[in-house]
Amino acid sequence: MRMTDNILLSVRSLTRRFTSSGPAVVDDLSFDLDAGEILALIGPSGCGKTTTLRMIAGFETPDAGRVLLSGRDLTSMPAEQRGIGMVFQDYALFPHMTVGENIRFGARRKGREMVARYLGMVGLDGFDQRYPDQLSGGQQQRVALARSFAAEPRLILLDEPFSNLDAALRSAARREIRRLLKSAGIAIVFVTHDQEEALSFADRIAVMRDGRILQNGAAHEVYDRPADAFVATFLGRTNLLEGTAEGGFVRTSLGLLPLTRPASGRVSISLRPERLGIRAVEADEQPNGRIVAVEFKGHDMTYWVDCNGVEVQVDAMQSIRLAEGTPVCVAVDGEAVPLGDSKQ
Amino acid sequence: MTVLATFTRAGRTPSPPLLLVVPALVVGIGTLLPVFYLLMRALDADASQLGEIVFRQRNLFLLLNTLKLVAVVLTLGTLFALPAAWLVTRTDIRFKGLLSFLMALPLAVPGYVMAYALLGLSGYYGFARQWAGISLPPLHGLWGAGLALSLYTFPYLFLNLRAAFLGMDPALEESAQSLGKSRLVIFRHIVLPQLWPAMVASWLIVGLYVIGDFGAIALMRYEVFSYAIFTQYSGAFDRTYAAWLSLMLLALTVVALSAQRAVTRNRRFARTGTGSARITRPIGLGRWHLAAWAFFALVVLCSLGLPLMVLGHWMRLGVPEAEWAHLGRTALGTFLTAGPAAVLTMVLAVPVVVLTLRHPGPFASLIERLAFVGYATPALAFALAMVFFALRNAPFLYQSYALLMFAYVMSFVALAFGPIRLALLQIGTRQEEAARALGVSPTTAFMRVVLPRLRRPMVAGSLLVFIMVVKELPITYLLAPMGYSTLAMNVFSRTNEGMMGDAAPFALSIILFSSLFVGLILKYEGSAARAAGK
Repeated sequence: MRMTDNILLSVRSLTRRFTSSGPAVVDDLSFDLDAGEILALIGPSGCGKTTTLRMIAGFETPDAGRVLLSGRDLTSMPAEQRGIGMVFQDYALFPHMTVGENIRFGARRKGREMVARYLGMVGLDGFDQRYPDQLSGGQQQRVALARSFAAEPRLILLDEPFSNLDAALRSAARREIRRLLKSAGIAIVFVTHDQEEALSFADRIAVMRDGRILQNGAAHEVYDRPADAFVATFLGRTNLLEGTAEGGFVRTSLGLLPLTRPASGRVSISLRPERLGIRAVEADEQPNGRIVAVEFKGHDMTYWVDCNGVEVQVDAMQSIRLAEGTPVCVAVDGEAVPLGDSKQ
Repeated sequence: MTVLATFTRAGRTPSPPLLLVVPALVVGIGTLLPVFYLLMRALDADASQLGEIVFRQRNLFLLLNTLKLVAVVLTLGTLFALPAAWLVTRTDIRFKGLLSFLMALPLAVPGYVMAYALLGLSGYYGFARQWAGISLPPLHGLWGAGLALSLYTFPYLFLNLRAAFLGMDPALEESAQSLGKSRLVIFRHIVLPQLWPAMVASWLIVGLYVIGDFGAIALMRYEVFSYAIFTQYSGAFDRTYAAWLSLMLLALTVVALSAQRAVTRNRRFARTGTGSARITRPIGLGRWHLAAWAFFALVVLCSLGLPLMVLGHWMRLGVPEAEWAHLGRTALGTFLTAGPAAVLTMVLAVPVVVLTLRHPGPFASLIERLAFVGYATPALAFALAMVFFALRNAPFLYQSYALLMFAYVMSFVALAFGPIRLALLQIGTRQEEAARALGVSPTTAFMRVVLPRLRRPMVAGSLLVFIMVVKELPITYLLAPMGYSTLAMNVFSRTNEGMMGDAAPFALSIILFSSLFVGLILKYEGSAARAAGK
């Protein structure tokens, strides 16, 4: 729990089981969210993230735990009285109403200029007479957002907001919507299973698994210092190595490496591929690895290198191009992250 | 209200609003009334009689006959409906719209007219002999009744199967094809399993109709439960035995309902996902075109041509004196009963379907089953129960318009469930939730977001009920206010007295009247998902 007095949403020990004897889908889950902050709930499918979102919205009743908005307990309040917006994965626009009617549906203020203002906000000026089926996926999403904004909530929940957009549209939509939300000062909790989406869209990331939050922190912090092997592999690619730690260093098959925090004894460590450097051996040099596979990705390349029996992946820019079978020197640039035990 | 309480705890869905519970209770109680009545009648028997009545040899005979009839009707009906549905949805046959209309149209033919048509065709005095000189063996008994019933009930099967074919994801068939399977194998292993729920559901509707039907069976003189019940009431006047027979019929219904659930368990919905609007590439019929057209011609000839020919024949024989004013009055009377009944049925059906889908639990499924029991209760028993209760508890209701409406609604409400259920499943709950997240109460959300999109299936369902009421006989006969008559009553009373020529214009009006609405059903059914409201 962070210490701020700006907390908007507090989720306290939420628990939900679908069958009384079965495992909890959401298990004693707690987090806080500041006003205007964007939080990503990320995890594999079935980890309980959508159920969590639906309990915050009020569409699902928790078995235990509380949901507080600005300190007020909402747990037993019906969805429509909570003042929390929700945008669904398929946007759930009302197909029998025009864009304008959709936006007016839940609007706090009525009137023509209100619709125009919100449409302008999402860059869809002049679309108010269209029907949802006359819009592209991206436009539908923006109408759904405008409809949510018009109800003037302080918090909006987004369920897999970008999954229905094609790849080309996705990153542009993300940037634009993030800018919009930030300027409107609306707090967001969104659910995704896409790590790139979580990292680029959220201020803070909560990684979920089996109904629990494994790690909750700023996006860069969770990426740079994953708490365990699951978080490390789920949020981007990584090399998991075994080593013996002593103080601030760990001995691995790649040599003696500095650690982000002191540890001792047998540890697992995570080393992001971009933290490794690779170069061809010089004349009198002893290689410490051999390239076993090369993945060409355009902007950069990934090399799979066999280092004394351990395979590691190395991301390198285009400046060097090495072929399969080349003996190489792999060097570590940065610190290794010792990992806690992850529940299997 | 302990049922409600336990179900709320177990299901953990918020308890259903009164707006749903009250209509559901009305349906539950309304459909239970005849059962109560029958039980009371049945218990009139003294203990010594009881064993003799229940274990009478004749019951077994009636049961076997009923089952045989159901089997014949379902087999024949499926033989008409399945190929027809496949041809109009999957092949390159032309005039699909017209063919669908013609296949649905026999719904408009009343059972007794169909039975007369078959009787009039065959036998020594049949017009097949008079016109063509062919003396067909008289069609009655099991095969006569089975043929008559299947010729006007197969459209239910057709409509349901057609909807199921249209809702099926063509990608499944295409991927099976790409795996190198033959058409026949694909049909057997991919198409048929997907059709199964729709097939069983429509078998249930038709089967329940058959065991409760009376008109065609009486004319064909085939002894099944409903026929025996009628003769007990009208001739022998042994109401206790009649009540026992009715209860046995209801027991049969309950067995059929549980069988349907067992057979389609875990696959209640034909469609997975949101379905696809994509049209499959139609199968070229090639040389089979001729066979397909011959098939349609035969079905249309039997189901529509025959009754129309017979009616035409009657009109030629005894040209009726001009009864146009009377005809107009009865047509109006029919409309004024069927219209409100259809609307009221829908008003009750929507909350019940919403309850079963959104608040599933023992209470909801009990009500749903009771509605089917109401549908399967022999109309005669239903009507007598209403008379009995009205005279006992509310004499002012006896032979009142209100009671007539109530009886219609309770016996046909189950018919309206199908289209609404399918549409609600297609619409899903997302949009309602979105509306609530925008600060609107659940009721308002339903009214403003879901109801407008239910318009089409509601119209389709009401039209189905409308047609049923137009053709309905026993309830109308017993409960209609004094001096009030419908087209069906006129047909029945005139044919009963052998005045075929007099009856013909009324029967023809029923067919024309109903055929209009059959066309509308096709227009409205199954297009709920994309009702953009434009």
